[in-house]
Amino acid sequence: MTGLPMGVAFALVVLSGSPVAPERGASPADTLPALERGYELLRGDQPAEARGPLMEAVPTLPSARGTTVLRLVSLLDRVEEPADRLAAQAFLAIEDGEPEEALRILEEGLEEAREEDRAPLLALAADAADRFDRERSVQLRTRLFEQHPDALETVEAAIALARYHSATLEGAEEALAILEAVIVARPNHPLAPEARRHFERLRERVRREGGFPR
Amino acid sequence: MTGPHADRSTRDEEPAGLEGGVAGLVSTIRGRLLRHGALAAILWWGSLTCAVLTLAWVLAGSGGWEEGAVAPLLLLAAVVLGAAGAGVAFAGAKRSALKEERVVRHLEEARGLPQGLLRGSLELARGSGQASFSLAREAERSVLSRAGGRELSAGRLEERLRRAVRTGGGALCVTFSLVVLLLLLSPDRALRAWAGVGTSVSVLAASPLPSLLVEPGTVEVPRGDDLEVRIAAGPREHVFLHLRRAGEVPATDTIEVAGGEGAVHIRDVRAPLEYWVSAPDGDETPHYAVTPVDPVFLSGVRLEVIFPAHTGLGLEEYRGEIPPLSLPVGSEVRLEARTSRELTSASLAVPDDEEVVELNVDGRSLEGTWTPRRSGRYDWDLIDRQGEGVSSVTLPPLDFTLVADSVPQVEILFPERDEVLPLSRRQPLTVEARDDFGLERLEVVAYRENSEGEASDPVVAGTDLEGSRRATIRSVLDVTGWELVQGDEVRYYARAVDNHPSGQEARSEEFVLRVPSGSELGAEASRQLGEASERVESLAERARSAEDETRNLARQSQSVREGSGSGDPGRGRTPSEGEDRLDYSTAQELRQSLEGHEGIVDELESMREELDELARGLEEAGHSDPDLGTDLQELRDLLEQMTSPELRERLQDIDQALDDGDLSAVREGLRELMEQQSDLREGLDESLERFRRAAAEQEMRASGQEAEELAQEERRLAEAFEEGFDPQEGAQRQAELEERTEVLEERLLSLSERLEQIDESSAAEAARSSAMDAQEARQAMADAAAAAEIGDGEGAAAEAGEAAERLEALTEALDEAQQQMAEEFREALRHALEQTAHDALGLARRQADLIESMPQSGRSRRAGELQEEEAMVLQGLRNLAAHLAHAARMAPDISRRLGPALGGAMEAVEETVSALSASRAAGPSPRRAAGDAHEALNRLAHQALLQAEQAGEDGPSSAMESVLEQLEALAQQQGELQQESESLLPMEMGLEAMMEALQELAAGQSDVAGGLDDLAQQPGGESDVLGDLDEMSEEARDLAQELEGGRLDAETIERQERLFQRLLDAGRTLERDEQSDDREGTTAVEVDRPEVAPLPAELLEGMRFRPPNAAELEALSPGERPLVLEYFERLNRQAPPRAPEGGEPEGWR
Repeated sequence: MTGLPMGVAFALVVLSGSPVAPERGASPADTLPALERGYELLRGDQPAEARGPLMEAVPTLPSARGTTVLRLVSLLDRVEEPADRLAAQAFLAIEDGEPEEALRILEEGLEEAREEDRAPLLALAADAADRFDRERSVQLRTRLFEQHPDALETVEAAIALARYHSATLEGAEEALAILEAVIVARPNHPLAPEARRHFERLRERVRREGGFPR
Repeated sequence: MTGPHADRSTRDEEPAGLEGGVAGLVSTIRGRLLRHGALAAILWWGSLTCAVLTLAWVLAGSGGWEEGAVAPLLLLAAVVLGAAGAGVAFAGAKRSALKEERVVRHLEEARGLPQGLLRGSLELARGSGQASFSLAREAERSVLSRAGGRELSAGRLEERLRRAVRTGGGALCVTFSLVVLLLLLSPDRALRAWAGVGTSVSVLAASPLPSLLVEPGTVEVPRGDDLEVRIAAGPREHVFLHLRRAGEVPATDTIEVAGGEGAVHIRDVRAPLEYWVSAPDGDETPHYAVTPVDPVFLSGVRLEVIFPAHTGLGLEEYRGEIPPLSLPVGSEVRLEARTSRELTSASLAVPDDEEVVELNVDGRSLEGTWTPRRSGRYDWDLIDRQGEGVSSVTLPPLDFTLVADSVPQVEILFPERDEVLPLSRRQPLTVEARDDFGLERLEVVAYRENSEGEASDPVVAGTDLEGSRRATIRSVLDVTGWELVQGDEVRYYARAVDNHPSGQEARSEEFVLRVPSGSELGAEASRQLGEASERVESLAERARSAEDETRNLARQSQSVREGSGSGDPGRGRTPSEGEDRLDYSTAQELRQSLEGHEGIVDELESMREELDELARGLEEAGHSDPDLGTDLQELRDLLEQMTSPELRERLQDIDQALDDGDLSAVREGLRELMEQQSDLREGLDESLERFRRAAAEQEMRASGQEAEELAQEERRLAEAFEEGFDPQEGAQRQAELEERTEVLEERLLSLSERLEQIDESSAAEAARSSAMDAQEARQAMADAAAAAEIGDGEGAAAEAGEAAERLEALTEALDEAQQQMAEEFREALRHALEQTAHDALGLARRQADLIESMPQSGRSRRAGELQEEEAMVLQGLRNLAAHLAHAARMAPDISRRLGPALGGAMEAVEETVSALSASRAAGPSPRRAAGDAHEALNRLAHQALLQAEQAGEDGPSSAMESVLEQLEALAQQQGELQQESESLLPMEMGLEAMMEALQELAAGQSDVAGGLDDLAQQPGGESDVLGDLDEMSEEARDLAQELEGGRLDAETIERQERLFQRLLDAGRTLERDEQSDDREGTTAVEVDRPEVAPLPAELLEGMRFRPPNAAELEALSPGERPLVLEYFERLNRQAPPRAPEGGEPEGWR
């Protein structure tokens, strides 16, 4: 099998239905499912090497899990040292049911990361905080929204912030401001229709329930 | 006094009168005789002199002595000799005949004296004896008395002398009288003659005068004409013209001579006359006769000219006075005329030439036919019955100028200089040929010459011109298939042949088409791409306008409908059939819009063909730039998408609807047209950026290549200067390089503008900086050339080295900029794909949230709200698609790779929206549909991440690696098909289901065949691949046909597997991992033999989780089916993960 592109080789593994005989000298880890191999590599602080197995594993995963793994891969593709390592550690912590640990890892390591890598780490931290400290996640998303307005994660974070603020009438103005800012800045973003719909419903709700005249 | 003489005083006195005695007597008589003698000599000399003068008068003649004449000298000599002779004679007589003794004897004889008496007395008298004085005296007296005194005559002697005197006197009288008479009669003549004698030496020494020459001599003159007589008289001052007319007194005119020549006109010669010329020195010409003659009148003159056949000229005829004619060589002349006198012969002749044309004479008619052989004046030569030549005719000579058939002229008007061979290998030519009388044929001759100077056989292509005098031909010199390589030249020229019987030929200047170098090919490709991008920009603008026009027309037609449908119901008026038809003006406008759209499509097709030609030309030229090849292929694909046959069919349908005038059909057509135009405009906008980028990238590559070549050549030149290269040649070579560098500088400045246009600012700045480097290099080159011209080789080498360094730096800078641009491009592409993945995952997460809100089965109370939210996801997905389309402008390949995933996601989300619709009764449940949509969004993100990884590694820049990728994809696809076939084979499915599955398989197999076809067309996919792509494609197509025919068996699967292996092998070849025949051995090692365990019981019990059936599998794509099957297999093999009640394992939020 020497020389075959890795993708094709592993496709053969998937398609043939039978495990390919290991090469002489190959490690037992090569026979593990791709997801586990990926996790092993993440634990071994080899996030770049983990990419391949993780991507290989995605088609075999349930959708929601697949989305989670893909989000990690997407994040790892966009960041550099030490952010990739921080993200991998945080991900594993979450997988292990320790979101607080994930948050701690990210918050402590945030300043070490490059400026352009902080937005995805903040988004990941906010997702971790969602599990146990809503306020904390709001703070993190607010920081993301205010400090990194052009980041890929900002629109999603903004919509989440708007959802949070729109829970109360008092927070609706802020939510509307956030949504309006997003719609104006990125009118063609894939999440802009949702933002627009949320904006219109919130505004209608505010008008209906009183509050500021619009 | 003593002696005898003393005695004399004492002697007796002498008789009177005899003083002196006998001696005295003798002396007296002797004296008298001497006087007579002298007188006679003088008289005779005088008469001789007069005779000489008379003779001189006679000999000199009326003209005087001729210069150099001897006679005067002889005459003078005679006079002188005469005088000398007379003197000598007198002296001789005095000594001999008239000596004393002889005189005494003659006296004694005359007086009858005894001889010796007188003598003795004389002697006695002189006392010469011993006699006494008195006896002597007495004797003397006796003698004297007997002698008779002084009257004593000397007898005969004296008589002779007296006679000589008398005759001498008489001769003198006669001759003298004669002289006087001559003097009186012709004093001039006499004086000239006698002067000549006196200056006989001068006469003898004087040079003779030249003879008089007179022209024209004896001549015939037309009656009434004047005759000019010209006289060559030498140094004479004047001559005499003597003229004698018939019946008139001869006249003599003095003609002044100036400069040795004189002339006189004899006016109005009507009668014969005679003339001659004489000179004062006596020279005289012969007598010449002047005869007046009457002219010969020619009438009825007709001259026909028959031109050579090839001139195409018809017969020409001249009557009367024949003007000077210009005749083509070979023309035949036919002459007829009538004369006023009968002639015996007539001819025409060119003076000083042998050509004489004899005319046929018949009484007073003459005619002749000839072909003039030379230009000139043909004089008439007519001989009348008297055998005399007729000196004048009423008609002037015939004047022919023969014009030779000139060689044709041929010229290549375009191109008018040596050129670089176009990429298409076809060079348009414009050739013009001219000929005075007509062209037979025009040809273009071309041949190849390689770098060694070896020439191939010429290839000739021509056309018949059938006698046209002028032709301009536009043709194309097509050298495709000549297998030209760099260093070759195509040399060509035009050749024209005229219609002269000898087929005169002319050829034009020979021009050269040089096979372009690599950098030139690159520059040409860059130029064409630049032009293409400009055309696309223009077409995009046109498309925009056309779209606006069509939109207006659509509104108009809509208002027509509304107007026709808004009839007043109260009036009971309903739209008639006629009101539902399109009005003429709208139809015309629509047709124009349609034609405009078709025009754009036509132009896009033309551009596609031009790009095809460009790619072919580059390939044929051996220009192997995979990046350029990839760019060209992408651009061609873009254009092909916009010019598909289906679009044409739709346009034709619209056109048909217009013809039919059916308003509803036209409206439908309008809608379609608007859609097409919108698609076209979008396509053009998308492709415009790609074109611009391709043009800029190619220009950057070409400029870099040119800079590299210039740097190398400049470096070589610098080395040559150091080694003492010829300065003049070096300066010229340097000037050529400088010129190329200037062109490069301009290209770099233009490139910087193009790069700014596509927002590549740093690359644009690099191009500008490179342009400055080029400028500095040029300056150094100029300095090097100047140094070379003054012979400073060292200085030239230094400057050339400086220029080379600049160019090398420029090359590096361009290379870096290009790499940076490519890197930025890849980075931008990667970022776009990462964003696509991120956005897709954001939508996937949103989708997951929506799934959470859906019940496991049945409809939710919030179905409407969920449907709205799902619609937002769909809209978001469309926004994502728009972003992806923008990224596809940079890399159209992205559309192809992500298109299916994106389409699948859209379809799945649309299905979910539909499933959430209250009216839908059948189909999958909303939750199920939403789950599928979630999967599809994950797949989209997954694919985008895969593409982003590839873009980050090498981007779409390597054609060979692109081929490898595609081979891998095709291999994977083939493997999937094979697996699917294997899975279908043991299944017990219904016939209909089986057929449907086989159709799916057949479609997939056809896709593989199509992919192999496309791959074979791509750069890098044609020759280095192990195995023939065409053969594999053919095999795939055969398999597809079998499957489509419902045939699926073990052999089919085996063939599928073989095809799969061949595709893998082909990929291996591209990776340079060729199979080797070398035996390779390794040391044996421990093999871990897994223990063969017994089959798990659950396999024998059946599967815990039933895999989807055929119908369910049908809903999946071929790629998904094996994954799903594998998934269920794993599920059945392993213990399922613990899951919370009621749902799937919770994902990470």
